[in-house]
Amino acid sequence: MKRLLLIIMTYFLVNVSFASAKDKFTTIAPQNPNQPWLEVVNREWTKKLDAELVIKYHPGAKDIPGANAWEKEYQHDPKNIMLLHGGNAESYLLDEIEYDYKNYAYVGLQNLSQVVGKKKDSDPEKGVKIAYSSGSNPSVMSIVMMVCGPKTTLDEYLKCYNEKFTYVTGLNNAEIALSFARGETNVTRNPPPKWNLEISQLPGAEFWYSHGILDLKTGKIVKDPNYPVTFEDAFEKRWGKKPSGDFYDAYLLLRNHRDVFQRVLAVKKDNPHLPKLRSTLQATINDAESGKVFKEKLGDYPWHTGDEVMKLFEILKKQTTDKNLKTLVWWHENAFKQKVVYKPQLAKN
Amino acid sequence: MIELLTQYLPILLIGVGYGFLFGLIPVAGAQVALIALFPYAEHFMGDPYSMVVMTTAVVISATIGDMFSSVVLNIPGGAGSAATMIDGFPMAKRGEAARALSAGLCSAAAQSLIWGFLFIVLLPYYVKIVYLFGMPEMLLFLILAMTVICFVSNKYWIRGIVALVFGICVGLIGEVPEVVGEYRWTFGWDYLKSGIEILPVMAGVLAMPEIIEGVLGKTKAATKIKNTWAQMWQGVKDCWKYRWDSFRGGVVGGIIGALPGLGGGIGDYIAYSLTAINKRKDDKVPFGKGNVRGVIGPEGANLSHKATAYFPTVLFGIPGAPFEILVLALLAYVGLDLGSPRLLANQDFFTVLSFGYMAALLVTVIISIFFIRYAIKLTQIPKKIWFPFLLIVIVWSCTRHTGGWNDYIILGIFCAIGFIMRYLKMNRVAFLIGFVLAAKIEKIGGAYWQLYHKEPFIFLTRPMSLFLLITIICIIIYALRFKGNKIEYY
Repeated sequence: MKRLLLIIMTYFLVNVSFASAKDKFTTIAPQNPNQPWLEVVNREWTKKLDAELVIKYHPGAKDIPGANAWEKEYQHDPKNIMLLHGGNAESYLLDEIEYDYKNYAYVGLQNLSQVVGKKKDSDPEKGVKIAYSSGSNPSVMSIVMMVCGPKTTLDEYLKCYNEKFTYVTGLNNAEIALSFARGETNVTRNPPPKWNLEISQLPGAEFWYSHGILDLKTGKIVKDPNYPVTFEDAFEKRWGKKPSGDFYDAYLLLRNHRDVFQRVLAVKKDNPHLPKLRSTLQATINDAESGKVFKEKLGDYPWHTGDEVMKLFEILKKQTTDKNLKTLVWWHENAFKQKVVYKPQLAKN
Repeated sequence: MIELLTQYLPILLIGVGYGFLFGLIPVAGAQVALIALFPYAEHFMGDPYSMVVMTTAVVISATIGDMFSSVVLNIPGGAGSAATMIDGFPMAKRGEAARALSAGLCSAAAQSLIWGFLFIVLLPYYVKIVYLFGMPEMLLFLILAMTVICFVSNKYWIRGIVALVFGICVGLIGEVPEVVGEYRWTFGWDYLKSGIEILPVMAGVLAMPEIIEGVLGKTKAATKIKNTWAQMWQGVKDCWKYRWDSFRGGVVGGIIGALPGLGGGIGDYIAYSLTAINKRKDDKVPFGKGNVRGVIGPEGANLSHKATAYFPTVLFGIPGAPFEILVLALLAYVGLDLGSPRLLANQDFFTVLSFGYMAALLVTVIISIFFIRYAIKLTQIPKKIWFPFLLIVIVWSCTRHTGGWNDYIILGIFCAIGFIMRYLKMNRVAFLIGFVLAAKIEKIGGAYWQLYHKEPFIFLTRPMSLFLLITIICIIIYALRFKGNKIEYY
């Protein structure tokens, strides 16, 4: 017994001394454990950073509590890095929040997409059952257009939504996956790593379309090389023309915020470790071995480090019009029955 | 096998020791032990299979460690061993701690072995089984669990229902799910916004009345322990004698663990209730007063639940229980993506998982056998010292949430509730089950309504839900007609 205790104590002493000899950074995730993107990135990044990267989970409704805690508390520790999720960007447009993207400096982000899948044996045009999770609203707006077809007014979309959609709230990620596997929901949407590693393997799961990627030079949606059928392609194939109109414009605003800022690594503006964090993340992305892992696990999506992120934010800001914001607020209140706020200060005009 | 043993023995021993230690600490348990592993995760990246051995060892040893805390300290080390307290602690006070621990250990180990083996055998059939359980079945399963607790072993079923509803209401205090900034029943007290922690509720309602009575001198001190080894052997014999109680517990825990979404914390209570209603002629000690069957039944459920919770986690990457979320994340960190076809086709993974599970079980049992001798000495400390000590440990454990006065106030409130419920002979376990299941009832009930509001009686058309419904009705009829062998109150 004494010997066993001695072994355990020695193990911890060795580890503690080893850990204290190394630098340690904490990445804060606004959700529960099991974050494939962050786990994969940290595992590769730590090799170049020459420091430990541990994850602190701060979950809460719509990912807001974690991001609010970052604004108020976590950011002041220079060893803390925040992972802002797509849901945080969505809430930035529509929810009462305390964090502000303008307040931070950015280590980097991956410009991602979303994958919309369905059950092979189901016809969503007869009815869609999909579960809500933080950041799912833009995908559901795209599914509304896919299922209802081209409509002229918001009221027409609302009528179709009320007739054909069941938007199930309250389930966590595991329960959402399971309800899809069991066929209780027939449509699902997921970030590419989750779709790739988990959901696509579920029985009856079938790729439908992806959101595509926002091209930062043109501000337009381009094909996702990992999942080449975009929403726009799928819509045109089904309805004979490209999607357009007020509803589509509002969708684009929400989709662009949600997808471009789906996984952003931020620190406090005057963080002394910022140059080191940026350079090592860039080195990790450039590293052949890590690059291969990223491609395999996270998908082939563009990375942006440093001030590029702020430039991205400026591009998205230009797309934020008063009309689009009002459409989003109207839709969220009347269709999704969610409590949102109109933020005129975000609009460029 | 020898090759695996040589390669992973050090990590196995470290994992078992580390997990066991966390299991013994009342405030900790398997979940906390796994969370504390994250900073060390990168050391396992050289050999990801070592993380499989480590996590399995931690889960098994912490679960068994939980039982020690329940029996000796009257504080559940984890939610899965809370029912063990009901008869385990009275046995300890009677000087039979070694017998209780040995019987519980045997029961847990036997069921763990059976269900660990079944896990390997049933893996290919699991997908078909789990798909029989949709939202209607999950909801009915929750209702079945609550029915068992309120009706089966409880003499005053109306008070049981009242306690259950009260527990559900308390469990719903805090933030409204998915609605930012909206809170329920906080009465303007900010502390309640994040909900109420489980430990002060469990300790306040179930353990504190007993301890405080001990401090005030109303409880008899533990009888002098005689012949520890003989007691331990008696525990083994008890386990064999009451093997069907253990097996029944194993079945209950195994089913609950295999159904993703139900989570732990109810299996042990259901197993306890089902054990208590099965009257035997040789039951000399009433349940709740230190009947060894009250330890064997729930401990049968405790580890079998952990074994089968691996089903959905390994096959789908969908955690079967809260601790599995952490296992999933830790294994993902070292590059093992549970649920992915590549891993499912990886025979090495399953070999290491099976080895880790069985070897960890064996090592934990050996350690536990030797540790029992030391653990029971705690109960021999004079009651003037022992009960105040227990009081301090419980108060300390329950006030780790914020460390402020609010923690003390909340513990005080639940102590008062515990005393009142005890005085009124209300089912305190029903209250705790309501508290634990409140969020699940809201979530699964809500999802059921959203999915099936156009056909609310769909459960009448599904064979599995119909079977569950008939079982519930039969349980209620049985409980109302047959009055024998019921516990007056918990």
